[in-house]
Amino acid sequence: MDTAFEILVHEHSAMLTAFLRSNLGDDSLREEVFQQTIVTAWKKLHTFEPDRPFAPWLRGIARNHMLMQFRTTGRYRRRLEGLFAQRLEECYARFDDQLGDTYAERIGLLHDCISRLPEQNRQAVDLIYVRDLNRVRAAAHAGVEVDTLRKRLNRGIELLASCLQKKGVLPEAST
Amino acid sequence: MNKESQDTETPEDRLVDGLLGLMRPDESKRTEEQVRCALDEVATLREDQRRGMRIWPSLAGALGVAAAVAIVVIIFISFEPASQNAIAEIDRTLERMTSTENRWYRIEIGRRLQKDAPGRVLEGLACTSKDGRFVAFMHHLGDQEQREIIVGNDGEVDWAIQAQNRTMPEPLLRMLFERLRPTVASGSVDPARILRLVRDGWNLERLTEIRDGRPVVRVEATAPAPSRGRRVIDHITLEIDPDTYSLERLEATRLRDGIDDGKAYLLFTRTEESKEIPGFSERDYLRTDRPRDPDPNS
Repeated sequence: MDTAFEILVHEHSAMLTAFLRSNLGDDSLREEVFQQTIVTAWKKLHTFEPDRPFAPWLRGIARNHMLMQFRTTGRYRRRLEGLFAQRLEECYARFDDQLGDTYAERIGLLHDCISRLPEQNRQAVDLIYVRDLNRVRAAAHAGVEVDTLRKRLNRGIELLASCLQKKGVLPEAST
Repeated sequence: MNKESQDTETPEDRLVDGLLGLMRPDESKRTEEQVRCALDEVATLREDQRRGMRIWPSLAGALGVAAAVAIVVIIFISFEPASQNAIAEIDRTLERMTSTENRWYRIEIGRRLQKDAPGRVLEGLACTSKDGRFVAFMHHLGDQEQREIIVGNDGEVDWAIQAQNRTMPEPLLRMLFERLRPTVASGSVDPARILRLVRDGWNLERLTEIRDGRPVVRVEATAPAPSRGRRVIDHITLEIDPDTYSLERLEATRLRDGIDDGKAYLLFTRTEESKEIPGFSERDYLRTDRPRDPDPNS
């Protein structure tokens, strides 16, 4: 069972990393919650039903840890509760079902959408995510104000979400 | 991300942001490291569970004998002169630490998966002040952005600020100290607190050595009970200058079956170096109030 648990953790580590990033903006917090989630999953493994998928169960544990961390503040709570959290879970559940053995393989779906972005938005995505520059350095590199870069980036993300929806990778927006 | 953008973001945007984050150049290495740390913690818990299961049945039968032995041991420790000498040495060091000029230390805190393996290491400079305050300027080794974390204690309350002089949010502050707690046992990296911790109840041994022609007093402090659970520091070595009662070095480690496993450590080394930040004086960090966020209108 222990070896099986380790394999499950390795298989779902990229998903958990992405999910925590979707909810938390801070690297240190994500690192802590990642560790807490795995340890809690191991402690509660006897409650896991093997005929159900592991990924949503693991995300549930991670969400509970994040809610506990932010129970006294409003920070990040909007993402963790109510319809927002429900919809985010639906999106991740749909992404879990995509073809590909690993998350890295499924990320390939995103590459195609990135290649279709308008040049300015693609550049912003590239500078921030692929080259991992902070916004100030990325804006300087692109020769624009930080606010302009932020707008290009946000628009790029919107377009990527829309592209993934058209491909059926994300559920259609609820009305 | 500012409040406005948080309010207008959608779950789909957040998913895309999460997926894009996986494309960072060193992300798979980071994730791998996190998995190793988490599984290491699980392995420690599992090992402790197994030990507990082995120990308890035999312990039950031995309790009567242990109780009798404990009385003898307590009496022995109470009158053990070397321990009393060590306590006196620590008292004098504490008294000097909080009554003479500020003292600077190089500080290093490490958590590793195995001894000598790469891990998360914080390093920087720390200062103890003569009025009992403490501050440490630290950054993660290998952190690309070299973000500095400044932790301190105003004599009673712990505080922390992060890069750009922003007060650390409460949850992050809690987590930071939670992270440090298992490393240094006292819940703080303040050497005065650590000295008080070991003085009250740890097993102490005082030794004198000659090093480079000068006497050095070494105090070996061991936690009263073997460490169980996670990364608890249970052995601390102090080096004290017997002429000035200055704490020259403090090394805290975790022993596993009597051997330093190298997975968690804290090291203070006395230095003449001090931290100088343009626009900030030492006093800014050693004031009585916990620092607040700067007023954006000022």
